[in-house]
Amino acid sequence: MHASRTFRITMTAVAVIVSLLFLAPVLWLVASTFRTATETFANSSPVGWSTLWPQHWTTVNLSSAIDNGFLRSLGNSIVVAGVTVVVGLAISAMAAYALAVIPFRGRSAVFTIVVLSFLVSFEAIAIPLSQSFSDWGLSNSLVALILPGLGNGLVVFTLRQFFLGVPPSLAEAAKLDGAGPFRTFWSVYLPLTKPALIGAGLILFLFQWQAYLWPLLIISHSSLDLAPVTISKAFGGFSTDYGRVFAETAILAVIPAGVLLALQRYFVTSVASTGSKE
Amino acid sequence: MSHHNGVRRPLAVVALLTVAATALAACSSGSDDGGSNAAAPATLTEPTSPVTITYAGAAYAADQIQPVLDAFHAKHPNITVKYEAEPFDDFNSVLAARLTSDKKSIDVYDVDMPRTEAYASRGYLADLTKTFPELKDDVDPASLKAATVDEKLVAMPYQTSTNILYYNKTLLDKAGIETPSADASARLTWEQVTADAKKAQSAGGAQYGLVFDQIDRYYQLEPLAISAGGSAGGNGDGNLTPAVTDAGWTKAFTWYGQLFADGVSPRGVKVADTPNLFAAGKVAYFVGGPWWGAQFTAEKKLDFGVAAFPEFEGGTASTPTGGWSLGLNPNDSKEKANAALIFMKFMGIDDGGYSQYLTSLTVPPSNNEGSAKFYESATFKDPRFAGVVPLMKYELENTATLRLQTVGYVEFEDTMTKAFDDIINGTDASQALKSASSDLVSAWAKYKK
Amino acid sequence: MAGSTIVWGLALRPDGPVNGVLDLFGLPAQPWFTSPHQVVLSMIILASWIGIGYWMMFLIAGLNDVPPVYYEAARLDGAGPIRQFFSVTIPMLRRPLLFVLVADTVSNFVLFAPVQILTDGGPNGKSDFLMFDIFHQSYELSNPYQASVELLFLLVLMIAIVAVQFRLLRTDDGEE
Repeated sequence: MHASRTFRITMTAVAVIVSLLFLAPVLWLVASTFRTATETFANSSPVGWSTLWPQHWTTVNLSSAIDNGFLRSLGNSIVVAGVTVVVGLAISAMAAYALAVIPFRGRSAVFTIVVLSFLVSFEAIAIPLSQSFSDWGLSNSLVALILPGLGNGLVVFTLRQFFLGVPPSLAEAAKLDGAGPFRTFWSVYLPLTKPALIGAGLILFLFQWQAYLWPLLIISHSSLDLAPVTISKAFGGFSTDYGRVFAETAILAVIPAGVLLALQRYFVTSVASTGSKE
Repeated sequence: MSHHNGVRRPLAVVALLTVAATALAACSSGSDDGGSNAAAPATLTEPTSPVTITYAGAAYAADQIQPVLDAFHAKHPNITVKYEAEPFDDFNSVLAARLTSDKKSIDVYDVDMPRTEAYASRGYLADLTKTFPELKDDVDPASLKAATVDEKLVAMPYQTSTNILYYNKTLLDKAGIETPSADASARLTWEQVTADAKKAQSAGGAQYGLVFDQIDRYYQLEPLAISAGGSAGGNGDGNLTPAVTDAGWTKAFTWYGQLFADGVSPRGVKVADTPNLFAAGKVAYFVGGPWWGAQFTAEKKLDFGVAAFPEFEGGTASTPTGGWSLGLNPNDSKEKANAALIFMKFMGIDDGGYSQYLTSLTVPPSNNEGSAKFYESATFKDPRFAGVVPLMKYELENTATLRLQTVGYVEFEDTMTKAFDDIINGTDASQALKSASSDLVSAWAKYKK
Repeated sequence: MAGSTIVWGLALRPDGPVNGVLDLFGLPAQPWFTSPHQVVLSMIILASWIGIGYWMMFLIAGLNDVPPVYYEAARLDGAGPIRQFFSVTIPMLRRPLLFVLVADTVSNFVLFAPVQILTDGGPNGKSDFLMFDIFHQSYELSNPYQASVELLFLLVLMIAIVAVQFRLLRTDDGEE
């Protein structure tokens, strides 16, 4: 028992230190939001409390961000990422269900193509794709921003892996109860793979949340700009508003972190709910 | 699934080929479609019905340029200019995607002066010679030269630039260093500045002695090579033969690399961070554009002064210059081109050009009449800026050195930035310049047919 | 990604906070991104920081699906925590592990934003990774054909590695 307790304390200490290391840059970013860029640079070295704690609190960075339309582009980002997560998850989960559960001819070929699809990086095809989009009259629209994010090979892949892990006996039991394939999908597979669905949603979400090149190419009205593009516009030819960059980057980082924290309980309770499996 | 194994492999190969072919087609269709430089008309007519034109810019933020656009709309009520600010670093990618894909999405756009030839050869620029035949009466000669390719005017120059040496008076006083004069005739040498910078670090508590604003950019570093007797970086037919390994380049960049090896300048700092270091009072000497004046004067506790851009001992004085022009999309419809040209004329010529409408003006306009007003700007009235106006006038007239004019400028700037970064990080200068030279030979091969 | 990159770029500056922390422990300042010998290491630190929390989520999701009875059985058989990890956790985690392995490999093969923002392929070309060069050739230098050739190489390389990964983590019934 004694050895196991030392082990546990050591592991907990390691976990705390690692998470502090992960948190420090975020704290620095948040601190830099509430002080002038000059103060941030003046206190970057040597490291002390003043590195992570502003000496003179100010909200000029936040108001500069708001004045430059950051709230509007943040709203665009939220809409685009939100729609992508909902629609993308629906498409991908159904595709993954087919690939994992429903036997059909050429299933492994389809799966191979899905895997290959995410080997080609999006940047490699962005310029020609943007030309096709403008030929189709789609440039400068939310649809143009959302469409490329919907089909995501990685998401289909991960959900397929988790669906394969669901015991077939449960699906058979559902079938005996008279459930069709869609019913089985909805009431057996989805509830059992909630953490995986959250992870898959995160992939879809981050694709749009960090999207930079694509919106830059396809959007020319600043009213439709996504948040990362607005941030990069702080780097002008003759001036860089670093304080604004810090503030906007902090906001952009805090939102997904907050959403994940809210969803954290699914990772914890899942053990109890799936403990009965097999 | 094991019964599928027999067909899996060929299917995978087919899938692979399909993907590869798509990628190949995708990548290659991004190429340019040759030069179809349409000529702009000789006369402009005020439109009688509303026209909206799109202006893609990288020089100014949207809120900075808005007063100019409002003033234009007041004078030409039938023309509305929609401004799209693009990030400076990605501007070329954006132009490549917009000017080749949706040909009508941009009417007029910012042209970084040294890239004029490259854009013209890709067919991005309409010929403006007939529309603005008398431009030489209105703008400074260096700007006009930068907008001219093969004796054709292909862009409307509107803004140029110069650089000065800022010093932190507090740090210099502490180290007992005499503050330099703002007089161009009292120009310091780099050797002197280096010695004083080290002294400011050891005796004055400066974290860094000397920092260049554009730390790894050819724009600000070219004058070092010229001052040491080097070339602009290329010569021969079309300036397409690299010349970055001569004695001047080697001398200048051995010195530059030594600054970083000695800790006089900081490694690992990006261009956009450098002014903040000076504003935070950590730097004794800072080489930069007058446009940082607005930021520096806003720091009430920062006691600074200005002096001329230094030169090497026994060398010639040379200062960075160049700025932005406006280009016209050659595929524009007649109606839009006419409106866009009226706007370009307003920006570059009418009553001294755009600069009078800007709220805070920190970069000299190309227009002669406009630059007279520029020197009256409130920023330069700050006592810490004493002497800057005659200094800037002198530099623009006498020592301003244009960047290398070549169709291969994009590759040139890219290669040189990498070479400068390597020199900053400790690579021997002559070795870095030699490898840059051989990189340039292969990068420029496509232009030499 | 861009945000983390900018933050880490500033943090790992030779005069930045990371060297400040090293200094607190009496360690010498490191050149990080500015040294040809450390730039790859610094990129690995950066990419790992971005990646660890992200990919861990999928493994946690997989861990939750391991029935606790397996651990109880292993404990009854006298297996310690390390033995349990290798004999229960890893085999039961095979499917999520395959996904994480493949997806993490691919996403780092096509990683180029930090290189573009921080080092531009330097110093001395030591961080000129394949995907960065592809991006650089096609977006900055307008060399689409060279970029296409490099992209093909990258694809073949990734397909080979991913194929090995699929084979390694294949289950006995032939299902990945």
